Amino acid sequence: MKSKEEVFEELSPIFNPKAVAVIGASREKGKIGHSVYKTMKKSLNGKLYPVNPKADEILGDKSYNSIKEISEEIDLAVFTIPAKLTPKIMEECGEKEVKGAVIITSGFSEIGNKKLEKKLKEKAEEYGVRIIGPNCLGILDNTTGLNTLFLPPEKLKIPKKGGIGVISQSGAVGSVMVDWCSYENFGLSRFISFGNGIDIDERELIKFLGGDPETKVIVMYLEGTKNGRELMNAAKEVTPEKPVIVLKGGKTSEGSEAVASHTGSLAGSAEVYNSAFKQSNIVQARTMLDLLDYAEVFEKQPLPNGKKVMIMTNGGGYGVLSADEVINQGLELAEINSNLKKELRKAVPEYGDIGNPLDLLGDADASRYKKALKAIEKSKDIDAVICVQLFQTDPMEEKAIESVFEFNKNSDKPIIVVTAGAGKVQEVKEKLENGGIPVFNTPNRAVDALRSMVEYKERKDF
Amino acid sequence: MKEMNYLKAMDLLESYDIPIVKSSYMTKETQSAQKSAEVGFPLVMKIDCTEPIHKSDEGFVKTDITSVDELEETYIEMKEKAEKQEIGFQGVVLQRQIKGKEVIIGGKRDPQFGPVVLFGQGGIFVEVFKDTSIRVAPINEEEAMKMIEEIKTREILMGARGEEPVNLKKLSEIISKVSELIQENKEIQEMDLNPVIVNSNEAKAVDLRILTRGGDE
Repeated sequence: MKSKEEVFEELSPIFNPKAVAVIGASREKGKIGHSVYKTMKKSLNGKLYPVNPKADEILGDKSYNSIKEISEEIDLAVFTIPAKLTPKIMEECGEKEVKGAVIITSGFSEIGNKKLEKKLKEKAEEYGVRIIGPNCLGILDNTTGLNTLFLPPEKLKIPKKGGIGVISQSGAVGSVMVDWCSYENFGLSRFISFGNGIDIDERELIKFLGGDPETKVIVMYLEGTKNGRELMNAAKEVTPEKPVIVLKGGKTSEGSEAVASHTGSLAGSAEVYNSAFKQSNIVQARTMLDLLDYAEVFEKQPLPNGKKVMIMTNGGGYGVLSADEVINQGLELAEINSNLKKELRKAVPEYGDIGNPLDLLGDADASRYKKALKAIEKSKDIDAVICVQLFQTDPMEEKAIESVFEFNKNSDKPIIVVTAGAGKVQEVKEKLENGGIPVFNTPNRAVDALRSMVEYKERKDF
Repeated sequence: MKEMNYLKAMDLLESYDIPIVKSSYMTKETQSAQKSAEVGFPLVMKIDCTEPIHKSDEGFVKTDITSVDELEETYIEMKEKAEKQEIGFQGVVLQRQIKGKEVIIGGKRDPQFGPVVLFGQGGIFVEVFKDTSIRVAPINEEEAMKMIEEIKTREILMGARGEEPVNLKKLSEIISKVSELIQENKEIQEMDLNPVIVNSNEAKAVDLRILTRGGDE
């Protein structure tokens, strides 16, 4: 079995190609071969060649009849041709000694056309060409500029460069994840949609992103795996260093095999996946929202050392709701010792109590947050902070976020801000997020994201 | 799938040091003293008959038998009742009766992940609430302990309402051994140790069922 570093090395020419040929590049607007070529022309840091025997020129570039006519070495071929032509074109790519192919084309096993898929796979294996796809979007690599997506950048906004690596079996879920990252202003390292995965699939891609220094967190949408043990082994190699977060689709459609025992009926496919994820310390998300929430906290914040949570708030009710969530989700409210109590007393006026949740009261301003956060920065009794900041009150100032940044800089504990509202609050939220602070609109989301980190850390240390 | 012969299944479990409740088999009331001595009192009597029946629902399981005389009497009664109902009486299984909580420990081969092991609360909890935890096999005792801690009704085992906690260490040993057994015996498709009875001292399988790939035996 290859290590994650070896896999990263081996697949690098595909993700960072010096020269790319788009086979099936088209002049006709609306065709996939046109969108792909147009996007690539803008984004690629390397040479680009269109291959289409029916055209002389595509977007001003000389078109080639065959990849074999190109004199330069080609690292990557992108296929946007009809399915039935792919085995023959793969042979040409093989003769040209192309290293990898992204096959966007659909019409293979997903519609029952297994024979054609097998033929394509055999041709690629014969020449040692590595494949991503078919039936996929391919690669969006924010570290190298490679973008094989046929979704035009004016329709799907490319996220900024960052530490989130995305793997998706589904093109639809994948493209939503990418666009959602843009919407939330999350940073993306690389995105791979691998479709039918006849060669490179989630097992190898986990290792690839695991070995990728640009990727801090791996986020994945998966419907099924060809080999569960290998998936676990790949994850086990990566999760001691990097979190892998998975949303598993198709949980209700599986597990229809015949069973004859109690155990057989109780250990259905979905239950076994859950257990396998747990054993390889894959963080499981139940919904798309979870998936991106977890990605955000893992990318932005350090791991908590335990499950003792400190809550502070300028709104009593939001503090109560946060405390309920902490208990319901199996975390603990940090206890406040007498020394800390003395420190916190300075942050809260005499008419308020010192407790957890710490109510900084409805007339709280930025200075109370500053004192309170400063007091708990180095406390050994606190593992994580949920900081509720409601900006609807008159004394509450935007400046209150400065003390959150200060805490984030000085403390090794994760901090998550809960705030909600329209207009001005959205601006504050953006500032916080750009400064590396995850922000959620409800205590439930904040605590759930924190819980995912606590569980990951516990498993990691087990 | 086909069911592995009971004695063969017992041997397999024994070869993995998985504790099974002591049992003996009796076909004549005159064997009462000898057969009960093999297992000890108190004991449970279960019918062995050719017709498929739900033994406990139809009164063919008797518990709390505490003497040779009582055993002889119960045997005669059960035999007469069975013959009247024409269910193909063959004999009875005697098992040492142990008090404790019922749990299920099992295994199966999953198409994607291969051998897996399952632990669950017994009786109604497993049937209605599906209160179980699963791991891809094999696992060590530490991981098995996590499985026990993971079920929702764990407090029932850990001593709710002033009860003595059950022997979790013994349970985790069995779970870990079952995970090795299912991993190493590739012909096994599914298996149940149901119930396993556990109290503060011991944990023992009371009933077992192993299903193998059809035609492999």
